[in-house]
Amino acid sequence: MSGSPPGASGPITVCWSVDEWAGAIVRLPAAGPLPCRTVLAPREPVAHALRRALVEAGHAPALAGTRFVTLVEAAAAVLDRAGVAFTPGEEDLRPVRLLALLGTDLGLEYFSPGLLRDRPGWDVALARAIGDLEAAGLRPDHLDAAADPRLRDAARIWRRADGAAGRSWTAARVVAEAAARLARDPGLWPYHGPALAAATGHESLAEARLLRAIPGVTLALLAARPLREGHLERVRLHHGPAARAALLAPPPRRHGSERDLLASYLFEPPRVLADPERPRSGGPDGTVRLEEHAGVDAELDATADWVAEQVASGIALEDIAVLVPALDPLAALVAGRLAGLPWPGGALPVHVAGGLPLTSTPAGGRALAVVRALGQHLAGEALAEVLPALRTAGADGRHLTRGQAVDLVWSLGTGGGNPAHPAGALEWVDRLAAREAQLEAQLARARAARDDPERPGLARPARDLERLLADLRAARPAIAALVDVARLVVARAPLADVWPALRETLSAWLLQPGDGPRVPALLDERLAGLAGAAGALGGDEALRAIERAIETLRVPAGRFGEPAVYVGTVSGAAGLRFAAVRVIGLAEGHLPPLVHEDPVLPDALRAPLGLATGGEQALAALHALDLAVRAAGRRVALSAPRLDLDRTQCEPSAVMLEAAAALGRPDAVTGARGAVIPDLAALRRDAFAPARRAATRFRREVPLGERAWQDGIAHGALGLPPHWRGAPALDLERLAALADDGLLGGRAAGLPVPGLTPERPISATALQDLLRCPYLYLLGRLLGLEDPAGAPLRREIEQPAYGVLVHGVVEAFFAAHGRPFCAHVGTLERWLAAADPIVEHHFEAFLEQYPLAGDRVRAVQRERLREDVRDLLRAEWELGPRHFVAAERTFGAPVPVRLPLGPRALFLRGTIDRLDTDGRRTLVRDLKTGRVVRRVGADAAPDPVGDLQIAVYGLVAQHLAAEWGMPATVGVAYVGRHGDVRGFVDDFATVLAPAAREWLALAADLLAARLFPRTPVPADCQYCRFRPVCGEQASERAARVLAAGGGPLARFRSLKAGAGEAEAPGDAERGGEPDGAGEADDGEAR
Amino acid sequence: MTGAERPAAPDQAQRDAAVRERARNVLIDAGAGTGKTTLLVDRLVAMVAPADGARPVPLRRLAAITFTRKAAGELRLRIRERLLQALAAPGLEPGREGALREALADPDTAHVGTIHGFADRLLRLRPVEAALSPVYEIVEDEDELVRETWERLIHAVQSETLAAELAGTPAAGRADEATRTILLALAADLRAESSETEHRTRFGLDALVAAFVRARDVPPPDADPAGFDIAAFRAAAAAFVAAAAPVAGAAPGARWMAGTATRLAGLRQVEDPARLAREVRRAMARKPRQMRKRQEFGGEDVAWRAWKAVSGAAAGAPPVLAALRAPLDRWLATRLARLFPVVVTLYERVKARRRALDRLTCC
Repeated sequence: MSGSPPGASGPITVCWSVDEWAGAIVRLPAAGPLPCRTVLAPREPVAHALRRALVEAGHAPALAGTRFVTLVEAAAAVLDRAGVAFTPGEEDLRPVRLLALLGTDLGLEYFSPGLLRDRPGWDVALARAIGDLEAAGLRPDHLDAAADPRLRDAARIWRRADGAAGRSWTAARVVAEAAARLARDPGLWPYHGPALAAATGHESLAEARLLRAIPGVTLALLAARPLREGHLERVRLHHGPAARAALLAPPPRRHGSERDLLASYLFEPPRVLADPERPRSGGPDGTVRLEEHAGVDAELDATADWVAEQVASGIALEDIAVLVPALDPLAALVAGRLAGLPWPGGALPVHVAGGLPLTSTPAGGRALAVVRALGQHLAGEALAEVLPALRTAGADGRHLTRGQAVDLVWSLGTGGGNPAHPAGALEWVDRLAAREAQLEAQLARARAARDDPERPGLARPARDLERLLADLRAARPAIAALVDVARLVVARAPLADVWPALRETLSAWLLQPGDGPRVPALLDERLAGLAGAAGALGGDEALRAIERAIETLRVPAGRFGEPAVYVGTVSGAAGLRFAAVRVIGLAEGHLPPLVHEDPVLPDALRAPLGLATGGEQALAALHALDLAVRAAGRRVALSAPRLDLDRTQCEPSAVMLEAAAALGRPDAVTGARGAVIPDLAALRRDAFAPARRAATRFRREVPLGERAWQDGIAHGALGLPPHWRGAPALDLERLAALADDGLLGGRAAGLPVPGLTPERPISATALQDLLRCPYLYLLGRLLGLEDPAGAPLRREIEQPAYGVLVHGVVEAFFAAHGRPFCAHVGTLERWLAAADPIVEHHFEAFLEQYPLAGDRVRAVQRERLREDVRDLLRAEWELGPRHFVAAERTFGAPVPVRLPLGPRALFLRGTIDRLDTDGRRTLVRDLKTGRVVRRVGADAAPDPVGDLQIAVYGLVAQHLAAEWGMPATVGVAYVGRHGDVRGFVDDFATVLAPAAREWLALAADLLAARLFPRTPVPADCQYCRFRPVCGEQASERAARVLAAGGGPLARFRSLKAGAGEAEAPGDAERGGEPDGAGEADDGEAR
Repeated sequence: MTGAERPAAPDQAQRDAAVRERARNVLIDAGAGTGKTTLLVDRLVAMVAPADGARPVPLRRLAAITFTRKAAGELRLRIRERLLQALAAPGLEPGREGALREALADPDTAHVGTIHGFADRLLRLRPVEAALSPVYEIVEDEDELVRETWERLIHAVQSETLAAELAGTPAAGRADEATRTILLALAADLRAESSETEHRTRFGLDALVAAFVRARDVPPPDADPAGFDIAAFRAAAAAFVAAAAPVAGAAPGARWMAGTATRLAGLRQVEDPARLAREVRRAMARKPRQMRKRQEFGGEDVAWRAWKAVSGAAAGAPPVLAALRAPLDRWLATRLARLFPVVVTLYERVKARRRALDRLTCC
């Protein structure tokens, strides 16, 4: 309808669609040979849609002489004509400006300065509130006399912010100033000819004033449902009573399809819906789907299928829209899922309106991690997390893995800052330099030790040191660069100094994938301006400003107008048109959104000032949805997840009820006419269920994604897809082999296993794992599956590091004093005192590579080490005088020890903690930092797991006795914490050795046959890290597998039947702390 | 079957009365699926759009609290459904229609939610009075906040900056004492951080911090710290030494008894409770995990009887081990309890920095 209502500046045209809007452009009274028109569109994409609609409706000639401008562009042109100078973009700068201001004395009444300063977020909240006030055409002066102190405070802050901003203006200010000037002087309007301006009634007061001030403007009122009295009143205030009256007219009704019914009756008053004469749906016709999904993931899959269905039905990509209630995080998820659809030449083109968050890109996420690490003062954990995001030195673009980064950072000893000591961030440079020198020295020693069996074997293996040193050298420049930035932060340097330094660091060291955005360049555009606005903002606050800039920056994804599926918000799609529209995420509370009160200007203050209240924001969301549904020319799908992204169960939005009511489908079971307003049960029966069936049908016919294949195969509807058969990762035969309880057999004949050849010797601890559970050995030792690297405890020395430390001290003690100590020369007290400086020396050296924080904590740990070493020495002393031979005696290097075991032999390498003789016997000892179980009662018999390690050492000592010049009679013992002893000193040859030979023969047979069954003893699994892999029923299953097997399997079953539920003596995993040395053993060779 | 078509319940009259009642509180106590939500929705709709001409109550002035978020969502949906159904009914009186239409605009801003959601809403309405960040987030799991609280505390203690951390808060006066207490606890060999292994969890001071935070609505009594009862400790130590005097032999239990007696005897002149606590803790750590006559005492009667005497297992014997630890535990525990305000203050600081609110604070 058209008319010229009193109180408005021109005629009004109500538009229910983009086509009607385009028609209004054609009808503008532009005459003459060169007609000129101006169309004020909300955004450039809307202008594009209007141009396209004009062309498609055969009005292409109308494009000649028609200028499309946005309201802000028009306002800027008015100000330009008025000679007003300004710089746009203040909305981006204002929060930082406020952040700097909140630290100063603002003379506030209501807001406490401490609160604004100490509680993050007030800068943004105040900036938003001031922006809203500005958009209402207000200035600080208008609020000085306000009754509410919040408004007076807002005015004070606003005035100071404006003073700091100078001529830097927000878009709202530009519009407000232009409206005021144009109202006074219509001659400032810069465009010739008639103008058509779009309005929805949700404009701000300043925008409405500007529209009214345009001379001879025709208002294109975009109508939407539902009608609410408050909104109508707002339209009356903004655009006059005629505009209000115009909105009351019923929308055009069509009923050719369900889509037409939905567009005609969505959000119509129930009385209209209840009209028995109104057209209703006869059942689903494929043009409208109302869907409910188990969760967001399923909804995304269904979205991808739906898009594919639209493409398959011939709809152009740019005519397909997937809309979300809010852009983040759903838009990125949708774009990612759509990009996975098969498409010729690469990914399916997708345009995300508004772009994707910079942080959703790999480089953006890494940049944020860097800034946050700096914000945490480069604490150890933060540095370890961020290092994998940085390039290492060298031209190969390498980077550390997370495990390497964790190992490196925590091997640097105590470093990094914390809130109480921010300057600790600067310590890394010195720590790196010192550690590099130490590693070089350690490496030299380890390399020498590697070639010399007489040298101590507990030095960290050379290859580990080489790797660590290489990582340190590679990461050192990047860490130094980070520390340079941290130095500025600690010195509270201003943003203008911090950002360039950080930019340089990011440019030089941040890993950025080839086709991703150049993060430093993107940020530079934003932060260069912020630096000017930030004033004295420095240190941590400067970092916060940078962090926020990264968090809020978005990067373009596709381009509107090009052939690409449109992904955007429901409100952002207002004014656009598509052939197929899908709105997802329609869960209760998401659309319409649950609106929170503004923390600065609650609704009670907003309403009198003409600012939109929470209720109006919710209504705007419904109007946008209504526009989106009307803009869908052929198909509409509305969908809701049952489980939200935060795993909360939710109901479908009430929008679903209203959509179902608009359709008025019959009862899907009885065919009878349903209630005017369906309940949830009817919704599920008549809407969700048919949609699910239709989607499943398409998915079966055209399985596009992995989920569709899995689903189809699971239901027996599809056979195995060809692409599953050839892929090595999905090779079903290989999977079957692994699932076959570890019985690889001949199929894995090529799998190299240690122990059977001199080239690959095996260690005692690896054999211990093998006989505990061969499957554990397969996963842990052969396949190398490990727990992910993690930060160590920083206030206690963890195992295995503690075990290595104790062994190192004891080794050094016996290297220095072994002979006189074992000969009982002097008193025990003298030797205990002699151990103290060794403890001290080793502990200090240890601190260089272990992050033990705090003097008191270090003192406690130093004392713990001293006590434990003394305990071990006391236990040694109590064993009586002996002849010391060696501590940490390496065997099998460089040539492994060949231990014959019947038809086979095992090749061994390792280190024996202690070797002594008592004249007639060789005494072999293994030190444990945990408890050991004495040979008492049921624990007296040899245990195939717990006693295997010491048994191997005993057999090796026996084997090499002549070579070592020692007695061939051997006695063995574990010495545990607090002097506990488990020994086979007198009965090694008669009890432990024969049993151990059988165990080792079995181990060799299992290795040779590549048989790695699971243990049938549940106690073996109690602390196993692979327990979740094997499942709770693993032992029962293993028992069945072993019962069905012969040969080594039968012998293994027999071995385990003997072990039963008995605990494993001396076993590091029972009874106490795990033993460090055993854990440190790499399983093959040292 | 829609609600309108549902046959009347046997207690329909009582249900109707509950819907109509305005002067008294109404309690509905019924099993699942019996119609509690339906009644609640009916009552709400009857209040916002009375059919009897009574004055309507705007929906935004009512609060409906549910136990779960799902239930809240369902309630909002049902309210809207019922309002729409009422509006679709023929012959609607104009006044009631107006009230229903007005209410239809309100479910999105009405107070329908969980108790946490309701509290959250109130706090967001008055963030200044609640001294909150305007953009706080409610955290479901406060582990991260607790961990940072612990880190801040221990860092500040170790760098002696706790007073600066607490400046301007009521807990500031407790900073030096808290620093001393934590250092004493570490000196007494209390573990700083809990350590979780496959075998067990050994709790440290961080667990105490976590417990303080989680139970901060029930603060411990803020009593003065207890003095160390050195006489009681010495008496217990002497009793242990006396009981262990006849014990000999190499069995682990006997060795522990003898070794501990030697240690305790060596502490006769020591008065520092932190050191005594450390020594006793270490002695207890050396004790074999189980004490059985045959296994740990090699069947020796004398040592076994001595053990029974000190452990309190012998009939009529006072529990010497407990008496040995009690004065030390009391001394330390009464000091540790006074860390409470310091911990809670630091926790509040952490929450503020992270713009976070936990559920306890929210309510």
